[in-house]
Amino acid sequence: MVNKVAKKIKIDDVIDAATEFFSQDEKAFRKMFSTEFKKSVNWLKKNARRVDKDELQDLRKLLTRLGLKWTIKNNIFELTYQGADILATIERKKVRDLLKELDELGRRSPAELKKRLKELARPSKARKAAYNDFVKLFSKAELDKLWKHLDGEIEYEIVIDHLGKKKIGSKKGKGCHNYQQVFEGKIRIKGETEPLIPLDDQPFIARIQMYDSTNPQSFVNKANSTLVYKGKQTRDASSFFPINWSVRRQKEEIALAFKNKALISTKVKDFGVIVDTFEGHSNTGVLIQFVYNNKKIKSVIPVK
Amino acid sequence: MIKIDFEYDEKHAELDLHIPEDKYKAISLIGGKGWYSEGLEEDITNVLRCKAGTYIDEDGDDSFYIGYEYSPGIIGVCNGDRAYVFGMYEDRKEPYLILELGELLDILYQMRDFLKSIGK
Repeated sequence: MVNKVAKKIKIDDVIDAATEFFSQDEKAFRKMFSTEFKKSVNWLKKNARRVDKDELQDLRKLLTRLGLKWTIKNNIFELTYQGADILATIERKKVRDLLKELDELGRRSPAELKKRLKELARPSKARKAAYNDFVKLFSKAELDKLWKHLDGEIEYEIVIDHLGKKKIGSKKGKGCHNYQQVFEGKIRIKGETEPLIPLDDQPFIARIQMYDSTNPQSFVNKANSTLVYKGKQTRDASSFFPINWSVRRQKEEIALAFKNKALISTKVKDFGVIVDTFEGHSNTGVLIQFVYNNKKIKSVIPVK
Repeated sequence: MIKIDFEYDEKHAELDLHIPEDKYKAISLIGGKGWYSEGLEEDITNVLRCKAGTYIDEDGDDSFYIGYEYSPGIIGVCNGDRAYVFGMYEDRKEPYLILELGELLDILYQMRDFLKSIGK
């Protein structure tokens, strides 16, 4: 019984991702990004087009025949060929067309199929190579700190009262550029995103709160807001990496942008802190900024 | 009045603050992207409410932060208390500078007026 339930959930996930999600209408996207994430998931499940189990079997058979593996997590559907993602540059709504094309190619000429798959896998391989280089440039502690910042951090500050007594101040939410954290229940979106319907490979802005693990059921606003949201500077807004980027892909795209980055400004504050800002581009052209303080990497921000 | 020399970097849309007086130099940490007079109006209103001891936000918090990502500093403002200049990305938990709310207002008014004067 448990297996059946698990299987059903998996099928529902596949239905959500492989069908509805690839051809979402605006209403569905609105729901996806609503504040109540659980409600959105339930809505999707309820409204997902029922897929014939035979159709699903056929899809599985097709992928096996093509030598492709699929994974699905947090509504991100990935197809891999020899460990490399082949959907990196494909619009989700065109995935079915791509599979059809590959199927026809494979039936006509296995050699041509192999060539096409290698071509599709090339961007992913370039990202992986960039990531391997990237991790060698930093210590594990530096990288852990950076990834933690991208996931969102909550810090306590020390304040000092008028009598000179130190006490714990308010909690400060920082960073948070990884939308996948929504699926982990670590952040929640307040209101709508901007743009309302982010495209694949498009960063977006949203007002957020971060889950405070030290105080169950409690969420903390992002402190260093900073962004223009709906035409207005908004305190708790954050810019996010594209919704179709898995955590692994985010890191690889960051590494790739890091590889082609250029220094855009250096500022020395009166206090002696040197702030360097670099810009680079991801595989699909997303502009990513790298913020350094005193020559140490502090944040990576998806811009546009 | 705290002396602040302003500079606006048009190329990068950044507001730079230079503070001659050693005591207040940490204020320069908040300089950078994101500053507009309109946003400062809202900050000023909130600081005035903190000064009056009446600040509470929509989530029930009685403190808030002023500052923008990319800058190395941020100001935490506590209702009925004072303001604290913290590092944005540093592990250090203690403030670089403590400001009375009147001092913070003085800084924010100057920033707003400067930005207004250059049409930002």
